Amino acid sequence: MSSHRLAANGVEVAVRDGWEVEFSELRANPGADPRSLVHLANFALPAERGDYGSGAVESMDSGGILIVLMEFDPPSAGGAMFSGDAVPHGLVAADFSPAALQRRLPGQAGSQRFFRVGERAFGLYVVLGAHRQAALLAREVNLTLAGITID
Amino acid sequence: MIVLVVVQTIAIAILTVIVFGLLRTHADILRALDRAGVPLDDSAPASPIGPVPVAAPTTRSEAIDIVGTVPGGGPVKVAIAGPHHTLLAFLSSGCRTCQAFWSEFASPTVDLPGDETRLVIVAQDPAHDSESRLAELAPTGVRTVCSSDAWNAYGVPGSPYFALVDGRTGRVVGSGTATGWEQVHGLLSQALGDEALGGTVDEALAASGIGPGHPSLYPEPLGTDEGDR
Repeated sequence: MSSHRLAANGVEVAVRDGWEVEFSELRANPGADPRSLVHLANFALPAERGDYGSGAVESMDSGGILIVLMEFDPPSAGGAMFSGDAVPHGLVAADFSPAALQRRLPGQAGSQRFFRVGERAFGLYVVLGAHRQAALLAREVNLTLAGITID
Repeated sequence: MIVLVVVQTIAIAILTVIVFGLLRTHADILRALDRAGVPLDDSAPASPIGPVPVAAPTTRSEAIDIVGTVPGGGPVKVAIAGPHHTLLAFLSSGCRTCQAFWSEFASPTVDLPGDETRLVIVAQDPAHDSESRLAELAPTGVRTVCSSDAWNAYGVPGSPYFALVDGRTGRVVGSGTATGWEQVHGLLSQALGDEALGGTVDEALAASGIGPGHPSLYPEPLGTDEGDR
């Protein structure tokens, strides 16, 4: 694992060699509490991206991985959708499907999970550059997810 | 008498405010000059800050990832590795020479030397530069990072300064500066050409079996033969 550990708003990421990360904040309105948005990728993240990685997924090659960690409003944490109680891990090839993509591009596959940590609600969205390599890339995803901690 | 004391007190208070104002302005000017790389000590040796010819390093230097913050944003890490070149442009918000580069890099058609070269602008940490001004200057679509650690790691003598990194080898191909983009582009292109031809001088010597301590590096001085006496 890399020695680079970056953190913001109670989310900490141990960034692996060859991976990029950017933390930003989402606000429903100017006075609202900030919500975390973290983009992780094993390729060059463009400076301009959509929350779910539009603008980045177009530049992924077959070995590319994009991980989006998005925080939702705290009241969402009580909803049934946020059933997990920790950062997801142990993803396998069967967890990925082109149907899960926010923006469908040929060959790519995605996976989406919702979970909560304490009173905080999060969505995890992962895009793989090649569905046919899902088994291999899922292992890389799990190694990176293992480096994410949330207070 | 009381009126005189009151007037005197008011006058002293006004003068105090003026003096503090002047001191603050002076400090702002000194900080701006420091950011611009202007030496303030006449007795000091010539500052290394300023145009430095772009050149391939005589020994290959390792590139490191850029870790810092986005101006006005959160933490960020930019990886150098990959099948492309990365042009690191070390710029400041206050340096006059940098203004031309900020403008040049705002152009979506800027021509970068190297293979699928990615431009990354690296400024100093917010403690050493104006974060709000950097956020204004950061060109749309260009990765801009505040990282004084990167300035130290790449040995940046002042701004502007450029380092072209080969993501496949993770090494700096060329570095230095000039006063205009055309000049920087040309010199970095030359460094790329030199790299393609044969790498560094040390590598060429090593390929010929000549390393540190090799006798051929220490020829006998001329004039030691008997016939020369």
